[in-house]
Amino acid sequence: MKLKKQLLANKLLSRYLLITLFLSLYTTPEAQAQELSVSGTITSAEDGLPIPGATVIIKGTTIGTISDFDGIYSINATTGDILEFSFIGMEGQSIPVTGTELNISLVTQAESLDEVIVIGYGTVAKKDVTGSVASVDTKKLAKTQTTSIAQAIQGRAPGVSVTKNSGQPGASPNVRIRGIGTVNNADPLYVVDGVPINDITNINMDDAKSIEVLKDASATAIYGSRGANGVVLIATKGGGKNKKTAISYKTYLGVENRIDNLDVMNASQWATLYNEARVNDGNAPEPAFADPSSLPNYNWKDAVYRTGTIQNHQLSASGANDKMSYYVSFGKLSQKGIVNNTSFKRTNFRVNNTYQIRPNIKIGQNIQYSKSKSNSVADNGSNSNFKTPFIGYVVDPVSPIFNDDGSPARPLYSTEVRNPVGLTIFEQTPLTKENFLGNVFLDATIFNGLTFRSNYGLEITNTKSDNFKPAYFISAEQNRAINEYSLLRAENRVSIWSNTLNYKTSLNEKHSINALLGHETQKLDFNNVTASRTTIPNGVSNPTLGSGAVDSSRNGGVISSSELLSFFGRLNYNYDNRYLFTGTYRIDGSSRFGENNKYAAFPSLALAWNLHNESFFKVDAINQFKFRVGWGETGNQNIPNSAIFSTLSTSENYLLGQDETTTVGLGPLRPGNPDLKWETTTTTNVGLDLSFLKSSFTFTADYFIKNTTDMLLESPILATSGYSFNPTVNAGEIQNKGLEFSLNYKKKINEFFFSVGGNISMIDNEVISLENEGSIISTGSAGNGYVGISRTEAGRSIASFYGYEAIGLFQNQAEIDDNPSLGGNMPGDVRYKDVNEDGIINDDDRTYIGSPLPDFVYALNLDMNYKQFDLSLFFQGVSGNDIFNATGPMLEGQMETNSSTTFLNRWTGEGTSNSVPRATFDGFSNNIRLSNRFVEDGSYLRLKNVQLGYTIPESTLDKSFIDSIRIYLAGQNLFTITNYNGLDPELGIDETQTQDDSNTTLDIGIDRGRYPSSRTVSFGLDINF
Amino acid sequence: MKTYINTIRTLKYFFCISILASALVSCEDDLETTAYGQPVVEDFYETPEQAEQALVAAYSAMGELAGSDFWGTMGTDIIFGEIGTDDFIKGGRTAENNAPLFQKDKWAVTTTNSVLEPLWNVNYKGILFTNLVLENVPNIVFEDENRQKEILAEAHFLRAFYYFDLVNSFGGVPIIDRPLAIDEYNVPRSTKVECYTFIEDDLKAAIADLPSRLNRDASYIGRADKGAALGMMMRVSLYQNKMGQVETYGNQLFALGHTLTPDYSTIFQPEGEWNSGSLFEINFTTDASILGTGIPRRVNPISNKAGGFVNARDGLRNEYEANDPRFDATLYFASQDYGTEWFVRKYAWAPYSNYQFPDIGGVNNSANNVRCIRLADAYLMYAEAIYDTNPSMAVEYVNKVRTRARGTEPLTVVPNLPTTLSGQALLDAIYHERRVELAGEGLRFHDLVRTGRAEDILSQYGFDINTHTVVPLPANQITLSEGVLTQNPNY
Repeated sequence: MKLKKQLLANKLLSRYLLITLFLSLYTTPEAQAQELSVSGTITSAEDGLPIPGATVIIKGTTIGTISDFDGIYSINATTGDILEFSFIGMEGQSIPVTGTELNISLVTQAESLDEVIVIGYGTVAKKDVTGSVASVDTKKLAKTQTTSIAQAIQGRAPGVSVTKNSGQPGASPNVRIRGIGTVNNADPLYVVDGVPINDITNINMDDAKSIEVLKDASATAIYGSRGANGVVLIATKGGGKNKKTAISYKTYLGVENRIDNLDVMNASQWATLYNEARVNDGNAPEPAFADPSSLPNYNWKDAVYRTGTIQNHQLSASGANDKMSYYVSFGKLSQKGIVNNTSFKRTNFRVNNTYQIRPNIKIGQNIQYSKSKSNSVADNGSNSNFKTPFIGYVVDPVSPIFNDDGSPARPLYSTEVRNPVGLTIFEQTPLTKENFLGNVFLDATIFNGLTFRSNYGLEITNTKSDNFKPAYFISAEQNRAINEYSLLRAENRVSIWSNTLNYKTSLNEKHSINALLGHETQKLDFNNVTASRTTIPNGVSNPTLGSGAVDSSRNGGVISSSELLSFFGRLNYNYDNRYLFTGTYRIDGSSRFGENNKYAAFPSLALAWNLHNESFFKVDAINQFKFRVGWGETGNQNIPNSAIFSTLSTSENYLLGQDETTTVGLGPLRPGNPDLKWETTTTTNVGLDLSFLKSSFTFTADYFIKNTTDMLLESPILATSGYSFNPTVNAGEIQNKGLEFSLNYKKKINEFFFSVGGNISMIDNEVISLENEGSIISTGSAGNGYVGISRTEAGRSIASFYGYEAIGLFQNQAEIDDNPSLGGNMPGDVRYKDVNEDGIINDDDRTYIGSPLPDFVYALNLDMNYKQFDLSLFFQGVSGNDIFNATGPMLEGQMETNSSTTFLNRWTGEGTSNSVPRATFDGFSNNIRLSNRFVEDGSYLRLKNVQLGYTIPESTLDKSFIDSIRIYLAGQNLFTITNYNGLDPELGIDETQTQDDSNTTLDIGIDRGRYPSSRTVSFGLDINF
Repeated sequence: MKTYINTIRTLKYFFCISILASALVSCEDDLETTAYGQPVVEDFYETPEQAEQALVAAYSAMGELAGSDFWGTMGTDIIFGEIGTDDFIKGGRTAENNAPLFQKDKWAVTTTNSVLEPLWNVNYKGILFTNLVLENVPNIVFEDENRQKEILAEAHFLRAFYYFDLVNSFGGVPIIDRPLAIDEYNVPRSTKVECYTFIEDDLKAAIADLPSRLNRDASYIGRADKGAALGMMMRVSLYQNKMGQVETYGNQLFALGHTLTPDYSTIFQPEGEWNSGSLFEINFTTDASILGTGIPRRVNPISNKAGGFVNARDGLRNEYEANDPRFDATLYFASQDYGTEWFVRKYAWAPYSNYQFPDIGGVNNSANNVRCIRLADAYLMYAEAIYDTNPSMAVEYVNKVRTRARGTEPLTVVPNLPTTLSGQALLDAIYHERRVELAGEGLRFHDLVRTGRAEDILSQYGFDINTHTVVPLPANQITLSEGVLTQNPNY
C-alpha cells in the first residue's frame, strides 16, 4: 500500500512541481524581520519512512514547496506563519513556525478514497468500485512472519476464510472465499500479474505490492468460468517512476515450538487404568503393573518434537528513471520444523522491469524463479497409526522408546501404534519444486484515452521427488523388508495470452466512461512420470533408480491437457461521481466440455450510489456513504479433463498361463457424460461503505446470496452399475448466504498513533439439492472402521458429521434392561439414542451430529505507534464449528494405548460420570461407535501475531549511508483460547484423504492427528539504504 | 503533428500484433478435447484382440477382491467368512484390533462394516465386465469362431462366479444381465431362487462350450474350464440341496480325468498351484505388475510381518484324528500376545510355507493362489449327495479323500471308512471329512448353514439364525436406492 501510494504520489509530483513553479513566479514573499528558512523531514507515522512529494504550503498564501526523495523540505517563512503539510492518502497537519527546524510525521487516512486498486485486467479508483473487493494491506502482512501469501491473508479480509490443514513447513492452507459453494475444488483463482497460477506457495510474500480479493460476481465475472470461488489478485512490486535507487534488506530469525493442547497420562496413571479395565472385564490385573507408581515413565509425546527454527532473508533493489524502472529481489527462507526431519527451504528471485521504448509504448516483464525443497515424515492414511506428529501421544508410557542399542523400540502394550521415532527416520518424503513464473507485456497508447495491452504469461512448475527408502526392522508391524527407490517427476504448465483494449473518456465533466474489450487464450498441461525399483544392493552409497533390481521396475505416467478460449468486455460508467455502473460480460470456451456445451457466457451488473456526493446530503461527519448492488454469474470447470468420455482403464489385468503372465485387460471404471457443462454460481450482493469523522472511521458491510447450480458432481451411483467411480454430472445446488462487516478506526494523539480494526463474517451454507432426492455424498473414513463420518445431503450444510447420538452412560443394569442397548453393554458403557424408536440400536439410528462449518469467523487487529516504537497485534478466530476427533477412540477408549487425562474422570460406579465411560477392553467396540462423543466444539481465538518494533532515530543515521533501520520482536500463535481437546483446533480439509480415487474437498474438520501449528518467537531487522 | 506520427506508429505495432493474435487464435478455435492414455468405449469391442482384453478385465475383478482391495481381502470367505465360526476366532493384535472383523467375531456386523462395500461393489464390477463381453463379443467377427464361443463361455462362468459370491453373502441380489444405461442402475433384489436359476443358466452355458484344461496346453491354465464350471455347478447345486444335480454334474466332472494330487501338504504350496486335483484357482503372483494377494498379510502371525488374524479354535484342532497329516498341513502354532496362537498354513508365508514374503510391490503382493474348488471337495459333495441312495459309492469317494490324506503313512492313520457305513453315521463322517479336509478354505460357515446345523453349533458365539445367515447390504447402497433395495432382516 505504501508503494502504491508512492506510485500515485510520484504521478502527482510533477503536477505539484509545476504548480509550485507557477506560484513562485507570481508571488512575492512579504518582507518581514523574522524571515527564516524552515526545513525538516516529513515521515510516515506508521513506519517512519520519509515521504517524498509531500506538499508544504504557508497557510493563507500560495507559497509552497514539495519534499524531496528523502522527505526533506525547505521553505522560507516567517515566525507565526502556519505551515500546512499534506500528502495524498495522509491526514494533513498545520503547524506554526517557531524555529528553523520542523520535522513532521503524517498519519495515513483510515481509508484513502483516492487509492487505486487492481481489478481484473485493469485498475479502478477505490471510490469507483461497485463490487465487493477487499484490499489486503500488504504493509500489515509485512509485519507477520508467515511464509505463504495464502496463510498471510488469514483474517485480513471479511469473507475470506483461511484454514491451516497441517503445520508441516511449507504446507499451504485452504482458502475459501464466501463459503464453500461446491463439492468440487473450491480454491480461489490466484492471478499474479495477470497470470493465473497453480501454486501460490511459490510466491514470495515480500514481493507482493498489492493483494486484492475479488468476492462478488460483479468483480469476478470478468474471470468467467473460473471466478466462482473468488479471485485473489496479486501484483508484484515495481520500480515506480523517477525514483532513486532504494535498497532494502529484511530478515528475521525465529524459534518454533509446538502448540500442545493435549495432555496424556503418565505411566502410573495409565497402568492403574489398564489394571482397572482388566478387572472390569473379569481378568486378573497385569502382573507387571502390580505397583503402578514404581513403573518407569517414558515421554513418548515429545519423542519426535524439537525446537524448530525459521530464518528469512530478503534483499531487494528498486528504482526508476523516466525511461525505465526496475525491481530486483532475492529471497531465502529456511525452516526446520518442530517434528524431526521436517523442513522447508525456498530460494527465489524476481526481476520486474519496464521500458518506455516509445513515447506511447511501454513494455516490461516480471520474472520469478523459485525453488523449494521440503522434507516430510509419514502423515498419510486415514488411520491415525501413521500420523507421526500424533502417535507419540498414544503409545503406552511404560514402554521404552529405544532399545538398548539405541534403535527405536516396539511399544510393549500399544503394539498397533508405530514407533514415531522410527517413522521420522525411515518414512521420510523429500519433495523439490522448481517454479518459473513470468510475463511480458506491452502497453500502448493508441490515441488519447485508448490503450492496448498485450500480456503473455507462463508458469511452469516442476515437481521432483527422489526417495530412497532403506530396509529396516523395528517390529513385525513396523519394518521394510526390502529397500526401495522411488522417483517422481511432474510438470505443470499454464500459459496465457491476453489482449485488451481500454478506452477512457469523460464528457462534459459529468460522464466518465471506461470501457474494456479483451481476448484471452489459455492452455493448461500436466504430465508426470513415476518409477520405482527395489533391492538396491548394500554398499551403494548414493542410490539411483538404476541401482535397483530391473525386474522390480514399476513405472507409470499420465498426461492431461485443456484449453480455454475467452472474449470479454467491461463498461464502467460514472455519472457525476454520484451514480456508478459496471457491467461485464465474458464468453469462455473450454475443451473439457462436450460439443454442445463448449461455450458459456458470464454476465454481471453492478450499481453504486455515492450518496455523500448528492447535493442534498449535508452530514459533515460522514465523508463517504456509498451503497452498492451487484449481480452476476461465474463458473467452475474443475473436472477431470476427460470426464465427458467413457474411457477404458488399461490396467484391469489378470494373470494367465502356467507361469502366470500379466495379461492386459480393459474395462470402464467410470461412465462418461458427454452432456457435461459448466457449474454456474450466481451471486447477488448488497453492500454499504461508510466513512466518517474525516475518514477516521470506515465501515463496510456486505450481504450476499451465492447460489451454485448445475454443480459438477461426482454423483454417487448404485454399485449395481458395476462402475468403480461415479460419473460427473451437473446436478445439485448449494447456497451460501452471508454477512460481512469490517470496521476500522484510526487516531493520532500527539505522538501516539493507533488504529484498530476488525472484521467478521457469517456464512450460512445449505445444500439445496443433489442429483436425486435422497442422494447422499458420504465422505471421511478413519481408524476403528469409521466410514462416512461426513455426509452431504440436501437440506443440510455441506459435509456434516453423521453418526450415533450418545446420550450419557448406563448408570446401572436396570437402565440397560429398560432401554435399547447394544449386546454386551454393562453399567458405565455409552448409551446411544434409539433415534427411530424401534427398540434396537443399529445403523438406522444414526443422525446428524455436528457441522465443521463455523457460525462466524472473525479477526481483530491493533496497531500502535509511539515515537520510535510500534506495536501490532492480530487476533483471529472461528466460532461455532465442530471437530470430529477421530483420535478420540484411542485417547478415550482403547486401553492398550495411552489415554487423554480426561479419561481420569471415567465412570467408576453409579453417578460418577455421565460422559466418560468405564475402563474396559471388552466394551471398547460398543463405546467407540461413531458418535457425537467425539464431536467437539472447534471454536478458537488465537493471537496470531504480535510484533513490537523500534525504529532507530534518523538523527543517529544522518551521517551513514543507511536510510532507516527498524528492529522488531515478533510472536506467532502465542496463545489460543479453545475448548478443543485435540492437538490443535485449527484444521481444515485433510488433504491426505482421498475419495473415489481423487482428492476430496469434503473431508473437513476431521482430526486424525495432524501436524500441529507452532508457536514462533522471532527477531527481525529491516534496513533501507 | 508529432502526436499524429506517434499514433500512426503505435497503430502500426497494434495491427501487427492483432494480425499475429488472430492467426494464433484461429488455430485454437476448435478447442479439441482428447482423452489421454485410454481408449474410449465407443472405439472398443471391435476386434478379437479387444474381445480377449475385455475378457481379461472380467477375470480381474476376482483378483481385485481377493488381492489388491484392502477391505475386499478382509471380506473374503477365507478371512471374514471363517471368523466367528466354530473353527476360527478373529485373532489379531488384541481383542479390539480391527473393528470390522471384531464385529464378525461377535456376530454384530453393522451395515457400515468396511468389508461390505467391496464385497458388493467389486462383484458387480466383475458382472459389468462380463456383461460387456457377453453383449459385445457376439457382434465381433472372429476367424476362429470356436474361440469366440469359448470367450463367451468363460464370461458365463465368471458371471456365475460373481453372483454366487453375492448370493452366498447377501441372499437374493439384483440381477443385472447386461450393461445398463445411466438411468437404469436402480434394480430391485431378486429372490435367492431366481438368482440361483440365473447362476445355473450361466453355468450350463459355460459347461457346454468350455474345454477342459486337461486337453489344452499350459497357456490355458488360469482360465475357467469345463472342470471349473462343473465343480461350481456342483457347489451351487449342493447349496440348494439339489442332490440329484450334484450327482449328475459330479459324474460329468469325474469323466474329465482330474486326479487327486498324491501329497495333501503340497496343495497349498507353490508347487501345488493348478495341480491335477485343482478345479479353479484365482491366480496371484509377486511381480511389478502388482497382481498379488493381501490374504497372507492378514493371516500370518504378527511375528511374521502380518496381522495375525484367523486363529483356530480348539474345536477345530480336536476335530482332527490322531496323526492326521492334514493337521500340520493346515495349522501351525506361532506365539502371539492375543488369540489362540494357531494359524492357517494354507495361506502362509515362509517359514510356515514355501511361498516367500513378497520382495516386490509391498506386503500385499503375495503369490499365493486362492484355491476356489478342489477335486476333493467335489468328491465329498458327491458323497454327500448320494450317501442315502448309494452309501457304498459314497464311502468310496470319502475314502479316496482319506487315502490321499494318509499319503505314505500307515493304514492306521486316517483309516478308510468301513464300506458298510451308511445313514446318519455316514453323513456325520462326511461332515467330519469336509471339516478337516477343507478347513480354513472359507467353506465351513456355508456348510453349517445349508445343512441346518448353524443354529446348534454357532449360537454359543452370538449367531442368530434369523439374522446372520447373510450379511447386511452396505448401508450406502440402501440409501442410494431410495427404497428400491431392501435391507436384510434384523440389520
